Amino acid sequence: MRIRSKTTLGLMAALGLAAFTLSGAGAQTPAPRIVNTSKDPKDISGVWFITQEIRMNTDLQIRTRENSKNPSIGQVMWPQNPHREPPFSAWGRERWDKHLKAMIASAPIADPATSCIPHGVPRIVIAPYPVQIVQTPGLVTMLYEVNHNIRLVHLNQPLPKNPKITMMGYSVGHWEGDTLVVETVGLDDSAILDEAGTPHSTKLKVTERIRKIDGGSLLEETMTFEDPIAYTAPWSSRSVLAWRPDIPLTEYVCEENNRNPVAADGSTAVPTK
Amino acid sequence: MTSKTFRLAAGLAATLAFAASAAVAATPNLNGKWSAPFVGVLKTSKGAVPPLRPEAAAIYNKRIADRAAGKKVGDPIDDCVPHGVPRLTYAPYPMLVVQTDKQVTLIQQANHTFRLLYIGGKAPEDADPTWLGYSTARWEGSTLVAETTGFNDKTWLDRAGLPHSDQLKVTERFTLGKGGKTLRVTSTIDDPKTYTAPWSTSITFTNRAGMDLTEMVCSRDHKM
Repeated sequence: MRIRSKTTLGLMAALGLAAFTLSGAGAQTPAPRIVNTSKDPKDISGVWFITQEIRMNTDLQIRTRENSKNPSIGQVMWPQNPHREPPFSAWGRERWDKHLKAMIASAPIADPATSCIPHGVPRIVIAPYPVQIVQTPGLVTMLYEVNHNIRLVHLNQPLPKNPKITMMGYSVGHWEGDTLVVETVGLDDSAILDEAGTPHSTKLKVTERIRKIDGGSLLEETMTFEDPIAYTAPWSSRSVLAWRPDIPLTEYVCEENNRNPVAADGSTAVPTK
Repeated sequence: MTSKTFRLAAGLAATLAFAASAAVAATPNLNGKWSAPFVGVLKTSKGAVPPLRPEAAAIYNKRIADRAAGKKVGDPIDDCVPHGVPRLTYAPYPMLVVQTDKQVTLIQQANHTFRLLYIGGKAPEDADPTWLGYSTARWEGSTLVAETTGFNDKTWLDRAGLPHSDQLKVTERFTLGKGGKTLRVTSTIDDPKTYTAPWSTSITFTNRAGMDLTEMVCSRDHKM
């Protein structure tokens, strides 16, 4: 993992976020909220930053901590309320177990983002870096600071029937009232759903329901995952991003100085500091 | 308010609204997908080799000679780092322009790279140098003028290997032509440590409405 900049280090400290460490999620202080001056519910443009809620699958984190010298499992996308496992199929369970065992052995399996390859969806949504949303006619553009990832959401268009498989997939969107509904297919199965390694197949369809809440100072993302290969039923997870006009995107070039080299066996070193 | 006064006020409001919409309409809309033929060797607008200082000319000539001889030239984009400016504009892949009142975003298919041009923005004074610099922009009539500074000195201005220093300032002028079917970008290179005088070069893009950008991943495919 690359630390974004001095600004981000300061920001992470300010938010109580330690990117890959667990220090009792419940004890963390929420960041102060910034008032969003745009009162238009369909105006979601601007810079947003993931809040800590997504990190709080504490059952899994405690279980891992008890079994490992290095308990860092990063962000977990699993259902939060109540905390429970997603409905793994045998295919999905096998891949998840592999990730969990590798993590407990402190030799996590490197995911594509480790090699500067686009994070995939939904992993990019919960990445602890800013995202800038830009709205123009027919298009919602999501610009991610981390490794200059880009998502284009094509409005009011049908999903492709035979999507080309790519890291970031193909996204279409439409408004349902004040909620932007984004559907994404064609996702490469070398990506994982979250930092912990929750798997998916190329048959994954992600449906994001995005809306401003809390007067616009927060952006709620409810994501539903349909993947008949990896899961026996659709399941959902919720993330919240905070309005952050104070942190415009800075340049992040993973390729310049990647500090997470991947070994020949596919594992990567766990950052210890 | 009497009905006559009301009609007058309504008329005035309509006139103001019309004037406002006319003012908005005067700003060109660069949104869309664009592509241009590949240009690997930048020349000045007059077709000359840019006015390199002797030390810079030596570096440039060696890069050209090495490439011609099939030697390793150390092209920075072979490491999948950003192309720099203006080279990114000249990358032989489509570009998507996403324009709002506050910002013009240039999205390049080449290794999924974007540049943010902040309309009316002000460059930070103490920022660390970056691969793509910091860009502010303004509208001068129907031309978008972007100024970019804050570069590192690791990129090349073109594929041939034109060097630059961290004092580089690039001024780009974006102008629509042929009723919006073409987009001309003129880049002025101002780098007194490398060149004896500022110089300019231009490229013309064609609108490609029906084309989709595809996903390019240099660090995986290394096909840049």
